[in-house]
Amino acid sequence: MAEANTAPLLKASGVAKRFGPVAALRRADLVVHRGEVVCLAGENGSGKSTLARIVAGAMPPDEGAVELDGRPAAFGGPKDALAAGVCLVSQEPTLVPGLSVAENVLLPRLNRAARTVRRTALAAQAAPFLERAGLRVDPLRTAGALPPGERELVEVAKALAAEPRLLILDEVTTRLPDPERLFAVVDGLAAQGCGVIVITHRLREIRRSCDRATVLRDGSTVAELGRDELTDERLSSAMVGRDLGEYFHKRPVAAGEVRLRVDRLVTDRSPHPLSFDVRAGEIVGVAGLVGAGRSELLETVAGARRARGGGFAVDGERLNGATPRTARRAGVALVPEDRFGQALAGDHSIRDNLAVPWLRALRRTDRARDHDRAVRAVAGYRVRCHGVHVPVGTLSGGNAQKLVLARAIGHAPKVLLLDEPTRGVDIGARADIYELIGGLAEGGAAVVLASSDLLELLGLADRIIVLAEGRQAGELSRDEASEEAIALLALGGGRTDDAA
Amino acid sequence: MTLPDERLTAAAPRGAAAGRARDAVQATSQYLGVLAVLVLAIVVLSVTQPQFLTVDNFMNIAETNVVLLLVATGMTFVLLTGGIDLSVGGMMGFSAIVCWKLLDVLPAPAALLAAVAASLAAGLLTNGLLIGRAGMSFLVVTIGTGTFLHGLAQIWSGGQSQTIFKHAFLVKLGAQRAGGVPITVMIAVAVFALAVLVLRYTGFGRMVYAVGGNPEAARLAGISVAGVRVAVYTLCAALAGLAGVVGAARLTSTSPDAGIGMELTAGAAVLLGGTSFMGGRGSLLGTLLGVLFLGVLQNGVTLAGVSPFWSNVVSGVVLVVAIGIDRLRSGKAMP
Repeated sequence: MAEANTAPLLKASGVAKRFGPVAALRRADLVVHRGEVVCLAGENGSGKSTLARIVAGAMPPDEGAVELDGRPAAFGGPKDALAAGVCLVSQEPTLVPGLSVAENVLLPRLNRAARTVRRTALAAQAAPFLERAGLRVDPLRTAGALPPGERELVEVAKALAAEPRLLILDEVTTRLPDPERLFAVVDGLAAQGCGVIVITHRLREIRRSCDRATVLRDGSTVAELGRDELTDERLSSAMVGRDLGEYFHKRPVAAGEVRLRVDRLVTDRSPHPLSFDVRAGEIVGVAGLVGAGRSELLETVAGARRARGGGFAVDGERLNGATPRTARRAGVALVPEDRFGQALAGDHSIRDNLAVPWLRALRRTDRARDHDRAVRAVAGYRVRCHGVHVPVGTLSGGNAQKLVLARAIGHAPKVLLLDEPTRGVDIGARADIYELIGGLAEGGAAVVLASSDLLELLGLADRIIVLAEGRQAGELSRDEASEEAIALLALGGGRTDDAA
Repeated sequence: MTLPDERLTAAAPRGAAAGRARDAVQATSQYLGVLAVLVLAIVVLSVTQPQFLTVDNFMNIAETNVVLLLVATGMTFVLLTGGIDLSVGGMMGFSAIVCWKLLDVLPAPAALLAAVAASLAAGLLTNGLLIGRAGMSFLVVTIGTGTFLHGLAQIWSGGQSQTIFKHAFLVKLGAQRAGGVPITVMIAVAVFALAVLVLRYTGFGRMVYAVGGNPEAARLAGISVAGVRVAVYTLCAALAGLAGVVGAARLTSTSPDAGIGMELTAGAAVLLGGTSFMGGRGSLLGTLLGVLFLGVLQNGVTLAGVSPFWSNVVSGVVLVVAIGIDRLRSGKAMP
């Protein structure tokens, strides 16, 4: 998009922000013009989300200036920013779970005009925004009852309803099965003169949608890349200061005996039975749209949900009525989708979080061993932190995810279930995580990898099972698998009514 | 979070001692507020009240707060899991009346133990199973349980206080001292010390924190969240039951109304001590400080001859201010 003649829409310069001893931002600069889509790139912990939150008025900067249309923007809070047309779709969920989808979408407006609320009128008002965001769901459904991917789309619809002049999307696409839809929306907004800041780790999406990229490293702006400079190599070297190298670990299949057998399993989500085997040394991918039942499948095998029918077996031993505990004892480890919601206690230290699976009610705790374990995990998994006593809530997403993996792998699982293991994780950490997964499979574990990142599935998986609306739509070998083949199966028979 | 790898991974393996020291500092900061007001209260009272700083007076403070310490100890476990037990007051009356009833048929020591056992069983069957297993709201269940047990105690006792003066064992238990220290204080301190060990050094104790910090994460990590919840409500009930009979022995009478208001006083003591209402954060040491503060305050008001109601006003203000300070601090620490 062409640059406007007047002052830029957004100009943030020299922004610094500290949290106690941690400098999240040191000297960050960011400029966005009207109608421009700018990627804010950087590794985990480089300060992207902090900068986004400062721009959106969620917190004040310690130093530096934020200007909107050339005028200083001293927002007293997100409300002021919203009134000025700055809207952030953050990484953290902001939906009110007890309200309906429509009420959530229109929440900023309800706030503005405190009048009586008619549910049906709200639904009608919210419907076009939901439609634009690509979510087909009854607007009167309770927001908290939706699966995470659909909730994310509600967040997007909510941002659209605020009619933004500057829209910030913080790691939104990582939770979406079909980011293309969102990018069409972004293109439309930009054409109308809206500025868009996209934070994503997916290089393909950056190339697809962004006019420029501003790269942060350790809290400072280190590079500005133009449209024609948006190559994987340039971006990644600017972000991490090293080359992309072996991004994916393609390994030869050395499939052994069957470790996990899923036999006509019926989960919460799927009325249709699922059957497949995973052999030792194999990485089996699970693809599908949001709501296709991927998480439900993994969580059922991990004992976190009750099976509605059928069953599964590890090394030939059937696990009937599995609980997380029995599944764990049988050698199943789950890395769940929502790392702070389902895996970690944010207030607690790295050491205490890592110790949790080892606790036995009637046994003495061994602090020294807990400490050593944490120190080894932090060093071995390259977790960036100030020491093992810090609360995990202060870590960036990728570092927290490494801890979740460290904990799951620490049990030497026979079956490792990974649900979106690299969601919101930067390239450097991704490479580490892929290496870990590959290494574990080579060591004889059976790995099930559910992901909405098709490149990740294609790069890692030996076979890919595609789910569509709770059905097993098909299975693709490594040779057959391609983005198109997966998408075709994932769309199922073309039926798209998903309200259910 | 933004520093380079080498510095941090190099800093980490300095051994357990550094981490522990940091933990201790961090843990201390949680109850720094209550410690400050406790010291302030002690200093002010020492200067203004000549009788305050005497061994006798401190034994008196300890003795009058034995019941509160026992209840607050159990309550700390519950609050750490993110719940609260509002049935402890009813449980105390229940326990005292059960004990009184059993004195007709059992020797006094057996009646006392049986009353504690009955409280434990009542806590297990009501709060424990309904909250832990059935997943019902802890507010609803514990209010219901407390009201129910208070009612039972009123029915069995005819709503009257009943003297237990003729039972020498109970009278002795309530009044006797060994080496100058009241037996009731010894009991409470022993129970408290045991609880500290359990919470800090057993897997169960750490599970209590894990469940409070993030129940879903604890469940997926293989911890029986239901089991931990059942355990803490049962434990809290047993300690409330013990507090009920110990309190009865001190007063040489049993009353169904003995524990009225205790749920709020004990809750205030625990929260004053820095334990988070959301669970997962806090300590028994903080609870002890909270109990001591409330005790010293009550004592000081009595010594000064001020209306005793002022102690409630002060503890209410201190509680809200202490939590407010904590909120400000944790608010700042959030990214």
